Amino acid sequence: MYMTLRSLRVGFFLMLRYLRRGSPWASLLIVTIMFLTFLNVVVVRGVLVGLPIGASLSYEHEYSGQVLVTPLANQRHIDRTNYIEQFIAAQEGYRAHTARYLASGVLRADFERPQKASLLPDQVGAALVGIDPYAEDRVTQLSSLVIEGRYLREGDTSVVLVGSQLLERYAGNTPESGGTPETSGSLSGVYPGDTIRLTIDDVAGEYEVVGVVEGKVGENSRRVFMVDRHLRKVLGRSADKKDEVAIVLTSGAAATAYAQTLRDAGLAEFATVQTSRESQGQFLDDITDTFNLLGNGVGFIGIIVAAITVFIMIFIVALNRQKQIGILKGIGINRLTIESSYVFLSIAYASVGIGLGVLVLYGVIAPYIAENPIDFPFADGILVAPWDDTFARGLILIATTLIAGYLPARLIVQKPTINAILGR
Amino acid sequence: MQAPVIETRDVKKHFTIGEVVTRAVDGISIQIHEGEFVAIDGMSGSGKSTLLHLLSLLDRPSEGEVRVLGEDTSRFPRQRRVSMRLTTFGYVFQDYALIPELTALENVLLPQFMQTGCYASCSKRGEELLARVGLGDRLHNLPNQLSGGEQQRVAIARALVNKPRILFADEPTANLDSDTSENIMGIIKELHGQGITVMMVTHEPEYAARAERIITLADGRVVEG
Repeated sequence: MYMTLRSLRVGFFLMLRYLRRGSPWASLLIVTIMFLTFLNVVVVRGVLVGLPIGASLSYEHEYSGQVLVTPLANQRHIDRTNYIEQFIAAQEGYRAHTARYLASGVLRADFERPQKASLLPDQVGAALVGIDPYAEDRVTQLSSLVIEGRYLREGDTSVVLVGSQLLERYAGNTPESGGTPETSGSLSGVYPGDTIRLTIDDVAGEYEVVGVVEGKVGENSRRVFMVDRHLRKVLGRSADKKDEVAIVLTSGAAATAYAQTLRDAGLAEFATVQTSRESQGQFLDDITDTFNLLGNGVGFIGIIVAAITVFIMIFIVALNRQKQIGILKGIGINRLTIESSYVFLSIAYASVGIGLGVLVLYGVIAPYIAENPIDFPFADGILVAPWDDTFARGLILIATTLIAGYLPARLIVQKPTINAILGR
Repeated sequence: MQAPVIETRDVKKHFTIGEVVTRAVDGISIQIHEGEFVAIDGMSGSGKSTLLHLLSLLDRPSEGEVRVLGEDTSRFPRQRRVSMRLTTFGYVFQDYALIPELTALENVLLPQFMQTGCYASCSKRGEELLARVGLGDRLHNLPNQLSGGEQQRVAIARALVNKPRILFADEPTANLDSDTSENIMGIIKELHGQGITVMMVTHEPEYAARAERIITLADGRVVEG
């Protein structure tokens, strides 16, 4: 035991000298490889896992709020919506909510021009949403998603905001974009200021398009928004029968606890109360797991590549020092000492590379992506790199490096002493 | 009579390359006694370096026995051979064989560090040895900052740091000019004078003549001595 410790001490001593007085370029190269490998292992996986989580956050921020109230499975609308709205506003943790009417309708552009019967009309089916513009904006910042024209105003009547995916210039017009034999996938040539015909429950009316909305979630990009009072009037719906209530909470309030409070208070009799996460269903968990798996796969390949690289580098270093290894053995330095010096060397390279990686990750990359999320079409890409996960991946990388450093050292050290000294 | 510190019994070392067998050492039986200064000489390719490698446990014989301090080393496990090289033997190689990343002092102290686990607080012996070979002012120089002769003197100091009973020197003056060679031979002679058994390979008769006994090899066999 004492001999082993002594061997390790001498091995560490040799490693320090190799590091301090060996080739700085070789050291720089290996440290750079370890640094990039670490970032590959942590950041690529973090971005991949961040995709579905970013999509989920977009869904929450742009559509559902932290808690979403929807009709019961066997109901068309939420009963006693007014009471529910008053109740939720009185609960601890509440910050704001928006209640929406939902309906379906058909939008038709270029409706005044006569058209051959053999041609498809320029029309598209869409979900219609009646909103209180002020309340909606407080919850989902819908006004910030207006990319053309203007947002809705309280007194607007025959005006609509159109989701970008309903317009040909954003969505294209292909079967993939939702076209059917009866309706095209999107409207062509519609801009703010144009008038479209909107048919709701067989009642057709003309509406001015005042703006175009584009968000990360399909619920916004494929919907048509109008002021709630107007839609309610067209539908002939009671003010006490709305279709969605999205709630945002104060900072620090827990969505699960808040939703449970609503259910416990009996709201579950009138409506389905879900957190944003629950409302997205099992799909989100599945896609997160899938991306996690992909990230781990990419990370695993990165680790294997790093292991092979370290193996080759240490093998070359040890091969170049073959004669010195022979001399060390010749003067009585045991194998453990020599092997451990190269293992310590690989660990030192890995530690420095990983240390730099951690600094860059948490000092530069993570804050930068938090401030400037990666703009993916369906989500704001965030970086998921929790400390414990990063620590675990760092340890795996060091362990891999340790083995990758040990094997070539052992291969060289095993060579007969006199052959190593004489270089044969 | 005192038992030999090293003894070989019909020791052979054969190298096979393809179908060609080279008998580098071909049945040598010698005895080296404590305190002797033995020179091994012979023509190039006569097997003198190979014999030194076998005697110093750097290599294993193909046949025969190498006995050190009365023990048959063929039965030694690897670790025992390494340990004997560390504690009992000292080596001076032909081409100095210093570790380039270590200073002169660190090179000298390395075997002592390995044997005792003591480094910084035991550096005095290393400093004394380097002073003794005339390098007291070059302790912290790296090998590439030293001349060939200085490097060889560092190698001698390193060989002595663990107070070996036997010093092996493989053509210690081969790469040195005549003045430096004289200096190195003087140091080796002085060490012998202090009771260390010295086995030195040389192909220079002038230096072989400084030894008490000369073993002359030809074609892997002892022809004289």
